[in-house]
Amino acid sequence: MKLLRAVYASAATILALVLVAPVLVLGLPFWVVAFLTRTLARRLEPPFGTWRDLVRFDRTIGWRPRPNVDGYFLSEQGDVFHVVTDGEGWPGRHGFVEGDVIVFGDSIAFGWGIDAARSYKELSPRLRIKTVSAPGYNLVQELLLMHEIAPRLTGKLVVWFIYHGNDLYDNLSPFMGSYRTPFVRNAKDGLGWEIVTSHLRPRAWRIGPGRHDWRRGLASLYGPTFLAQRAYSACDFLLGEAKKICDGAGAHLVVCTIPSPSALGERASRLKRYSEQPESFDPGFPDQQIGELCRARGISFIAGTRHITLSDYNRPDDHWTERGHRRMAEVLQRIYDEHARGARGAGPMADQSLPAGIGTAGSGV
Amino acid sequence: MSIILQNPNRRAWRRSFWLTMAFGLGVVAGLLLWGLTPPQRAAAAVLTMVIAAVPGLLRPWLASLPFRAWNKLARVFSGVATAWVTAVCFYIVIPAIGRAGSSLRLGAEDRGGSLWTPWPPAPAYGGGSAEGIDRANTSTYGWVRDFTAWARRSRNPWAWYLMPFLMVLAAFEPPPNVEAPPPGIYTLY
Repeated sequence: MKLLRAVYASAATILALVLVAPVLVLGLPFWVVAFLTRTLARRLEPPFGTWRDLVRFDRTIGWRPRPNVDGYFLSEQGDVFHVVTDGEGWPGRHGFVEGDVIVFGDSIAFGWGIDAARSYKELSPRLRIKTVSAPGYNLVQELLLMHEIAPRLTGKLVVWFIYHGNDLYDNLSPFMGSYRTPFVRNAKDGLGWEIVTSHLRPRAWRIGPGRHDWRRGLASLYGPTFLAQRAYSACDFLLGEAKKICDGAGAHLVVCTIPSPSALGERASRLKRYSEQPESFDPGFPDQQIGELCRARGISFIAGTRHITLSDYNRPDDHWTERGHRRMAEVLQRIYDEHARGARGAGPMADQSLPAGIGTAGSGV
Repeated sequence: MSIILQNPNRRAWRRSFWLTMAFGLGVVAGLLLWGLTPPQRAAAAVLTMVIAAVPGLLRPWLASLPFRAWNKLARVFSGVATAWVTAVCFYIVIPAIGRAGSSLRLGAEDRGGSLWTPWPPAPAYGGGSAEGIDRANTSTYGWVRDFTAWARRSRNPWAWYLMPFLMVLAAFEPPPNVEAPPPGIYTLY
């Protein structure tokens, strides 16, 4: 009886396989294409790492890129790209001495998502660009680096990229994902801001739910909201400190904002829906605010929205395309040319004293 | 292996897709040129492959649109095919293999007991088990071997009859969506 049932089941299975056969025949070309594409792609693509393989813990700024990297990395949702870092971990093979322009910034300044040879750093034939940057950096980390590198900034043009997409918000946050970051908080005496680094440890940050609703935070920076007031006030403090460092080192500081693709073109109306005050949402608000802060402090200011468009960003990855890098290379060339003309007119820059240091809080979070 | 391709944003994947298509075009060209001698047909096929492959190799972005179009077609096909295969399984295979006998407890009320399975005790080496799956009884050779091993161990031979259909369904299953980060994950800028 058991054998009979097994034979019955086998017969039914064979009948079902006959019925499924047309699907298998029609599906075969899809399967062959998928198999060949996967097999070939694995052979064409070099071995690669992720950003976790690129950075190492640093007790003063949270993390920094590994030195002497010459390898490939995978950009989230993007492509595999070539990364080269110098002996200190900063992108490119040029040193500070040869650099005409020193760029401070985050992953965009790092050239994340594009081969090192095709990034803005390498596209200016007449300009040697050195960048001090890493994926995920906020302005506080960049300011701390500016302070560290200050003795080597003398006579240089320092360009500070401020990315609307997350820099302004991240300055106020003690973590980025599970990574601990330096941040600014209101000073205990109630006057101004102070930098906090005492919570930096290699251990993962487990307090708080993480950035679960970053669009709402981003949208709030495009209008006079409570978050925006805090973020721009903190930004003002950081700009002031950067200005002091650059003046002290005899460097000329230029702030260049980088627009978030979420607020460019038709995508701005989508972002507006996340704002606490949609009626006052203005895509030009960050540039207007940062521009005014820079003017008040005597810092040269370039609004990135005038030069970078939505099509200069990779989608869905929010970093620049090759065209975006070309545009930024042109912008930097123009900034440098103007700076050189100004410097020639006004005579050589005075070699001033080194900065007295920036206020770093030692207390816990 | 799924018939739906991943990583449309990666140059290597676009290039290899283009090369695969060029290969397919060459094969089709070789088959269609009946009037030629076999060596001539082979030469024509190779020539077609090379000519078709060059643009995509030099400009991988050219493959973006065909890559996405092919994937869309594959998704539509896999949706229809999955519905057809599961219908065949449900109406023909399952009723038939049910008669082959099973040691599965399919009804609680028959025995008046609970269908809850006791959580397996953690092994001494501390490996533990996840989702009730005992790691000691799983292999690294994929789910096919695990499934057949389970059918043998648990004396459910009917499960073997399902195997070819499960393999077909696995090929039609879309890969995890890598286009969008999982909710709650903050993209690193």
